[in-house]
Amino acid sequence: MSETVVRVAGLRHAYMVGTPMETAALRGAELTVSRGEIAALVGPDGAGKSTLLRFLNALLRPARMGQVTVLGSDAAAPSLDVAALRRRVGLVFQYPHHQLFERYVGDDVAYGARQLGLSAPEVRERVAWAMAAVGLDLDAFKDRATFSLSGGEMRRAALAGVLAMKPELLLLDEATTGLDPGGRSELHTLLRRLRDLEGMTVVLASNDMDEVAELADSVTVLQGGRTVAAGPVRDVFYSADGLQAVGLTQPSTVGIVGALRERGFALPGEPLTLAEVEEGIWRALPA
Amino acid sequence: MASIASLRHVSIGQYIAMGSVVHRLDPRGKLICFGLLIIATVAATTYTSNVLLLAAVLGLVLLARLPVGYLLSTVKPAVPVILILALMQLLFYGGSADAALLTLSWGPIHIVVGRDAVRMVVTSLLRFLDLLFLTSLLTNTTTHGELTRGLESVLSPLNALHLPGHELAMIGAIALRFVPILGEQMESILMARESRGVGTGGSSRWRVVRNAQQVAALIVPLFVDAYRRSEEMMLAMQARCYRGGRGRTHLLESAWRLSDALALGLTVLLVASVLALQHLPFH
Amino acid sequence: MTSYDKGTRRVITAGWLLAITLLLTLTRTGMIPVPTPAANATVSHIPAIIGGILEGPIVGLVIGLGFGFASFMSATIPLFKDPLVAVLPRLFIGVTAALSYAALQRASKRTLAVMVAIVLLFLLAFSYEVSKTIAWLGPIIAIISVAGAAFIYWWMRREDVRIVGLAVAAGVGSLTNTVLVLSVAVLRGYLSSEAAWGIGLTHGVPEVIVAAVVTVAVVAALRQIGSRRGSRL
Repeated sequence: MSETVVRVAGLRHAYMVGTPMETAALRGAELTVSRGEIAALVGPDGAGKSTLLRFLNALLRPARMGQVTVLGSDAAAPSLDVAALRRRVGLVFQYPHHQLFERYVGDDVAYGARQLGLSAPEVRERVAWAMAAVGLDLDAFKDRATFSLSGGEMRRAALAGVLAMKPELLLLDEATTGLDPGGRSELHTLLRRLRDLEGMTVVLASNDMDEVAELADSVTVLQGGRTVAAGPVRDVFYSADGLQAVGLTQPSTVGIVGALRERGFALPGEPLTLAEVEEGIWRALPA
Repeated sequence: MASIASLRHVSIGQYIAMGSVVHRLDPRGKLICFGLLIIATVAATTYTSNVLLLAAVLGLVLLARLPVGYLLSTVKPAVPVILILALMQLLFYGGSADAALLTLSWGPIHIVVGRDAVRMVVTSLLRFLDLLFLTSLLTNTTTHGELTRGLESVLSPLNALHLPGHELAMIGAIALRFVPILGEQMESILMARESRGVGTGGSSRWRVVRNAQQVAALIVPLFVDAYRRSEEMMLAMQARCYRGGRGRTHLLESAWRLSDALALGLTVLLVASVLALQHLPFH
Repeated sequence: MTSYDKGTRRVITAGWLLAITLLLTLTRTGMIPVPTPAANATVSHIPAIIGGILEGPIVGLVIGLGFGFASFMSATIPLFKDPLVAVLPRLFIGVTAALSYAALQRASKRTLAVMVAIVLLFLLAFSYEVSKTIAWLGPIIAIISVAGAAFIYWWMRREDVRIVGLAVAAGVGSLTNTVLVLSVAVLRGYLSSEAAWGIGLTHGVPEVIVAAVVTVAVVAALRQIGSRRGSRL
């Protein structure tokens, strides 16, 4: 059993406590992530995914109630060494233009690496690696003004900025919403490479079930600030209660499998990705 | 600094719905009365005039059914500062030298508290309360929409004088529109920066300079973002053939009623009395 | 940038700068705690400065008015709850910044050097006069003036004169805020002369520096001027 990187139990949180605008965001959320896996966090809008992610890098704390343990540290404790935690946990936000704050792209990507106290050549190396990973040519982009980039380029630059810190745990808050299919599959490839080659653990908050089916190893379902289902991705998506109860649509692959089964064409196992469905169909066809 | 999550709920004053007489007054009238009362407050320098004013204002606050305790609680964190400043005023205000009220001598230390100084401190505090309540009276009983419309209406005579009354109202409207957007933006920048840099943005050893560097580093991207949005807005306005304010009409109009005229009349009366009291022989 | 009706552009610029001002003032983000009993050092006056520089004294006036108004409405100490202290001086922040910028914009390095020298002489004479009434103040003013002038000269050698002019204009705007607000405070009896000078020096000097730094950064970013054209990689 591999090491647990994140453990969240019974987490409660409310915004603007004590004012007329108080809203409860989390009502007992749970999350467990093992090292080296891509864990997905799904749920309808307003379910508390972003809030939960923000507890994982100590942007929000201390918790009203509940435990948050990240990379062995208690992320909800007031005595936490926040600096140390944030060197190991990276958070990519939904809107890239919210994240870029330096005037030039190169400086923005280098910001995190510089904060780590690395030497100038080390910083340059990290930036080069990070930008190459996201597909931005170092020399072409490093001196561009950040606000002159296109939306897709900004998104990549924001991701590069976080990658340059080489975090052990990478958190993505709906980072693919609004991406075109090409951009999305590139990002998926990148995430898989980061998991396999760099040993990064990834937590991906998403509304897109197909993406989760293709990419994730485990899934946690949030609704109304509470965890309603969690486990290996195949188990959750093929479970008897179904996701409809929670108000979420199934991944289209699962839908296809279900529809085929109804018509008497049963595929073996529990295929999730398109590749698996395809293979399943081949196998099930009469010889 | 305000907590991160509350940045998007910035407003000059919370509208507290109480349904009182004051709430229902026409915003134009309220703005004019507000202006007049502010003038009165600023001009009042004697004990009696200030007491009258404060009594009147308190009466209005109660009439508007606003919770006095809540209004005062906003000042609570600043009370120590206020006291220190009052003390300094008391000790160091150089009024007329012959009106000493209290003299303390401790060897080389010689402190004179003048009659004028006392009057200054007391009237300052009274005036402070007046203004606190007055601003609450305006902002807590009038919605933002009413305020902007009222403001534009009150400024409209300026248009006749070829002064940019409408433009001013437009500027105010744009600003109010932008504030929550920019608030959200600032929140995001803060979170992104914190996530990547642990809240340290400066390189100096001195806390003051570091704070300054952090704030500066936050403001520049905010400006650039606001500028970009404003460019979009310019395009949008041009696309809709915006050509200035002449001849614009409004969807919602407010009506001037008897209660408004009454309020205005009473306010004028009050201001006149306050100013008259200033000139009485006793203070 | 496409061509816009200048009036519309001014209205919109005033609008978003006013929005930033309101945001900074009302959330107190625009405050940097300084170890004195009075208010914090402010950053909220910078949009007024920038407005004045970018679009002229009228826009600067309007934003300054907004700043003063917001400051007045959100004030929690008697000093700033007085509209004469909070609003009236702030009208001039953008105006002085605009006028200084206009004057310095076409100045050559030599002109700027001469102007700095003249101001320095004035300040030294002033500090001498002041030291007659408040002994410790005179030398401090003199030292600060000389240091400031020396810095400007040194900087002028290495940087585009437009940038230096920008910084100086921003400094003027910031000083307008400090000087006028404190003057009115003294006139209205809230502070003694000495206290005002104390606050003026402890707040005013950092505010000038921050105003200059931020103004230069913002205007340079918006107008693409300045000697640095790329990242620091």
